[in-house]
Amino acid sequence: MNTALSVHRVRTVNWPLIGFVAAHLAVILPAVLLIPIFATRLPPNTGNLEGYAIGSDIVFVGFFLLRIALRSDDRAGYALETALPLTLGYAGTVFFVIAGTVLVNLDARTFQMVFEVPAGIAFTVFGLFLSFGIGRYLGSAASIRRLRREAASSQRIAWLTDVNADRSWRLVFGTLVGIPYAILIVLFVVLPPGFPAPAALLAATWAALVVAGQRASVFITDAGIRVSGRLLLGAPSWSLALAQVASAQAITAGPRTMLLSRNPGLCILRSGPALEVTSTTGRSYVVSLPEAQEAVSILNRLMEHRDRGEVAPGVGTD
Amino acid sequence: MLFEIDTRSPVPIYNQIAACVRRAIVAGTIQPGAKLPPSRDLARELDVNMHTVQRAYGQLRDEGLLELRQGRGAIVVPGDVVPSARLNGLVRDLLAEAAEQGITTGELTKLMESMR
Repeated sequence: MNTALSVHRVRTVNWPLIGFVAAHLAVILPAVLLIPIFATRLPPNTGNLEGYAIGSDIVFVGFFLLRIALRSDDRAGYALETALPLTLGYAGTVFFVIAGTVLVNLDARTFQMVFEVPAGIAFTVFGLFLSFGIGRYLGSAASIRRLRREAASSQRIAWLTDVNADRSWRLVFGTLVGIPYAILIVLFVVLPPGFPAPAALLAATWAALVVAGQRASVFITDAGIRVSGRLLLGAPSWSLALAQVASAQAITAGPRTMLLSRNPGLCILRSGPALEVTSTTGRSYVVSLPEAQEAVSILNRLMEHRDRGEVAPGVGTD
Repeated sequence: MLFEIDTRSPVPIYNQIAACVRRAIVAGTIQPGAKLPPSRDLARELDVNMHTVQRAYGQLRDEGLLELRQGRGAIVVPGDVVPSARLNGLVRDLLAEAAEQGITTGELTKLMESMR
């Protein structure tokens, strides 16, 4: 393994991976430990709850490692701010599912899944929102700190705007999410003994996601560009340091573009104008933006000053 | 909406933020009824304290340019900007620019009188 690639990997401290492993273990382990601790108070037919927990963990860790193996040079595609929300969101949800299952089965005669008890459902949903909320907050903070660190300057510039989903997004997103949800709902209903509560919960979640719609905030600053999705699911968040921006242009895009694309940097919420940013490694990042031309103008001016080595750009939108 | 501040400037940051909003309103780049970014978001992106942004928004509210509503954020006052509020804003910008260039209020007054 004496290749340049392996040497590079040895010399690089992989902070996202370290952060992922540390956060994952810190969140999951306490929940898994609850099972042996309360083993005597759980019903005899509890089953292999540890096995399910560890099995789902192995799948998720494998998925994450695959992501690392396929990593590109783009730090936004694979970075701490990406790892944290994923890790804490998923691991936190698993924690609440396992802990909830243990809690609802304490001193019970027969085993029940957490989704079969209203209190268990509420507990899990609360955990899901809490985990993803904390993950997204920490991830966002890490992203901003990284971008700011790269653009140490006394002059600060920020252009902020929001973009909401339109009908075309609801149609595409509703279909994309609806198909796997429908399969799960059918399985929940058909498979004995039948799980009507989880099925209803899934249907309600799907409806709520489609009705609420995705919202994204776009932040262009002298440090870089950041797109932050405001719904837990749906459109990806991404960020790119100004030093990584090669070009910016206004394009026309619709949510259908996302259907077959493997590009993780597509945040398309509307049919119409969008901002496309190309990174120095050639990867494309897109966000729906009615004011795409204005954003391009600002980015171009920021890049001009960056290329001239000026750290205090004066930017206008004229 | 575009915000520009300079942390090394002698002009307080909240004044600089308020000046950005004022300029945008006067120039028409931000329309009456438009919503300004949440103070938390703006503070985070500019890397300043959230209270600094809130102070700027508060100043603009006192000038009659913004409405601050609980849970709805800062909204540019619908309808035409009140002339006195607009003039007030322009004068504040002028004073801020003069302070940045080291020109005292007295010198500025003399300069204005010489132009009449």
